[in-house]
Amino acid sequence: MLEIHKETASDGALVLRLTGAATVEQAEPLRQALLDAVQQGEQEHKPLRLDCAQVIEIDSFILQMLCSAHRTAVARQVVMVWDGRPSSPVMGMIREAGFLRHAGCSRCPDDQRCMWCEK
Amino acid sequence: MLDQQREMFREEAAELLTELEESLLELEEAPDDQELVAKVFRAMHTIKGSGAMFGFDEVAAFTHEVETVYDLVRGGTMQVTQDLINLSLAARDHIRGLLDPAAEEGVDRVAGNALVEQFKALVPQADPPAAQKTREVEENQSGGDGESWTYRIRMKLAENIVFSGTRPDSLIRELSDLGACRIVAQTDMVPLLEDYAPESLYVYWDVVLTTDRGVNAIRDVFIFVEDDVELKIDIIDGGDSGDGDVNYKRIGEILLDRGDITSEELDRILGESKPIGQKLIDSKNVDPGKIEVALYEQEMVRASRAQRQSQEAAATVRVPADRLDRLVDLVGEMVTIQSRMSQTAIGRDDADLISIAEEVERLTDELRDNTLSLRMLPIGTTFSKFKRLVRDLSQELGKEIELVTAGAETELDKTVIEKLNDPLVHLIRNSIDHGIEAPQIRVTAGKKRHGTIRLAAIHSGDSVIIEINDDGAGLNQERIRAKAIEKGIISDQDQLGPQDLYQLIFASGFSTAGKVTGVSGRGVGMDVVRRAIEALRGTINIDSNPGVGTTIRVQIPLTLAIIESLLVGIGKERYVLPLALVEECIELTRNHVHEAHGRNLVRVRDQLIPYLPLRRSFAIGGDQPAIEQVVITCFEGQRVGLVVDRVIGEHQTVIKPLGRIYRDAQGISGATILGDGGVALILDVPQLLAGAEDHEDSNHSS
Repeated sequence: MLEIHKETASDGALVLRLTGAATVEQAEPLRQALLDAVQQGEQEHKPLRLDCAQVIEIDSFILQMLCSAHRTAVARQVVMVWDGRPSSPVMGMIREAGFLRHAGCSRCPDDQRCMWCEK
Repeated sequence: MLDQQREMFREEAAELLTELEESLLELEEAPDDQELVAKVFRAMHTIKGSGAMFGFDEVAAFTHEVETVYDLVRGGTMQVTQDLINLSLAARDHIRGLLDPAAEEGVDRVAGNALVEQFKALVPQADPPAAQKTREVEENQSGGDGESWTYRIRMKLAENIVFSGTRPDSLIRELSDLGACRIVAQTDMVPLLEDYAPESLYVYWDVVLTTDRGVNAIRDVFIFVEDDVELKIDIIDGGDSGDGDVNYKRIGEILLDRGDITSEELDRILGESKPIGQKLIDSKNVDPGKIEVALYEQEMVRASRAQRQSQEAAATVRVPADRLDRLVDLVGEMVTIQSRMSQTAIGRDDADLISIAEEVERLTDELRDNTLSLRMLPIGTTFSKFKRLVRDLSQELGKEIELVTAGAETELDKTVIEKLNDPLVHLIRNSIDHGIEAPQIRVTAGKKRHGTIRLAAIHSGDSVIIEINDDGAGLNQERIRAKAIEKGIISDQDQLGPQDLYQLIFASGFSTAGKVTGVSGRGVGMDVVRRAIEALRGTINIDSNPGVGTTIRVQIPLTLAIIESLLVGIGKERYVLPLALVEECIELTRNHVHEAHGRNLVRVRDQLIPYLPLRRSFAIGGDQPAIEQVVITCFEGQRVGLVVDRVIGEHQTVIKPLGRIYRDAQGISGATILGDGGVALILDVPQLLAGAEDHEDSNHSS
């Protein structure tokens, strides 16, 4: 099961916290939650942070969705970054499935960093 | 052809079995070492696979059972136990027996079947998948000859792949199991969230894989999704495709090759003065994912080529030993002819011919050294056998013994190593049986519980010295003396120093062991050892310290084929003696003989040196010249002269064995053919000196 929890951090940023197994079976509720969060960030001019520290499993379907969410945020001029370090299953899958990058993609503006950049 | 391949397999398997034995012995010490387990498994797997390929079905079937067990150990289902090691060593010996063409009829198949049953009994019953997995691995194997390829793979799965139940992540894992792998998920097709169908797959993957497996192994990964995958596999390096240049293509070229950029775009970007990778990223013409995989491709192909180059540099050619022996023989003939040519050239006094002869001499010398070095093998090949010997014998005798070896890389002529094996086995057996004490006795004596036998080899000039040292009880002088008197080797009046006493154990029929064990004590060992070492033109010495241990020193010449020697003449006969033993030559006049009052002694720089007139020893007729020559030799620290008519000079001696009839001739170890086609006998200096001493002794006692 995947639990999705949205809150506003003390600095005003929106934080979307995922807990549990983030796999393709949970893709639709997650897409909806991500889209809502990006839209809220756009309307309220708030940055969006994604907390994946409690994710115990993730697959390529969800990783590509996070990529999509970042692109959507960029297109709507919402800053979207990780909140803390993702859990080791997430980091492991980013590496194994080949999402890790040295440089951000063409849709990534110069002032924002790609989600998949190593540093 | 098949016979030749079978023979090659036998050789390869023999090497693998030696390695296997070493690995098993190491595994016994470190049962948790997974690398060793993997090594044992691989050795078994190769023997089984190649064995089946070349028709050694019995070997393949037998090895399969052992391999199955090691696969379980590898997978963590089973532990390495003492029983398993013992069984595995026995299995290794059985496989060797099955492979031995001479022993084919004599293989103990009952024992083999018993081993199979024991291995089967080790396998937990409810666990058939492991065995099955082994078979799968084998069936999938297409290459296995150690060659590796680098593949460029693009895998685009159907967008709706999730409905077929296939998970892309498991396919990626299977791919990465095939070899060294870099994977890049390409995200350029990923839409924004609004247009995103949650269960669709938008990413596709570029993979650079270096593996020794064929392209079919890669296709097999996708066997169940064949209709749902766009798969493009290109071999970009390895096999015949690689040009061997370590500097693989530039990034721009790779991208062009992959179709990720057009040549116009590339040309335009190249015009800018930044690193190409940066230019490409800045230009936003190429997705960073594509550059990423191009970089990986460049990195992996370069690494793989560099590795292949270093492997090629270390490549070896397997040549049958008899061909090498034939080559050494031919070079021997060549040396003989060359020396004849040099003599002829000097005889004709023709400057041109002399110069050519000198050139030929130089080349022949080089050819000789190179050829002899081809037959050189590291002595370590025999050392590994002794580890097993020590392990098995010490277990049998209830002793705790560790064998430490040094200088395994020391090289010796192959034929010498082969002949050295038996004497060394005898010496080590003796150290185990008579030298090292039982654990309780050692503890009582204040020593470590386990004894140590040190086997070391070292180069010394044109010889190799092999030392066998144990920290056992040392030789018991009183017992040796008593035994020698009992056996009639010495009389009870004889007063011998420790060194002379120790040498008695090399006398024939001597054994101090109270009981005849399966190990030694039959009273033949040391006698056989001495004769074997002397047959190799070597020497053996023994030194012992009561309570501390014994050291045996064997000195062996590097090669048996060609030696540097001194050519001498007596009457019409010519003889050669190894130059290594010669110290100097002096003249012997009638005055010298007169001064010594007829005794065979000559004064050299205030030292009296005994000499042996070879003319008399060999009963050569004719008149001796007024001035004779004494060749002073030094053997085991003793200087003794050999009197000859004349010293002719240094000579390259190609040793030819004597015929069977002359094998027992005293004082002669072989023969050689001279430049003029004549024959010279090779003097066996140690034997001549020993004979002279015996003669002297009998003169004294009579």
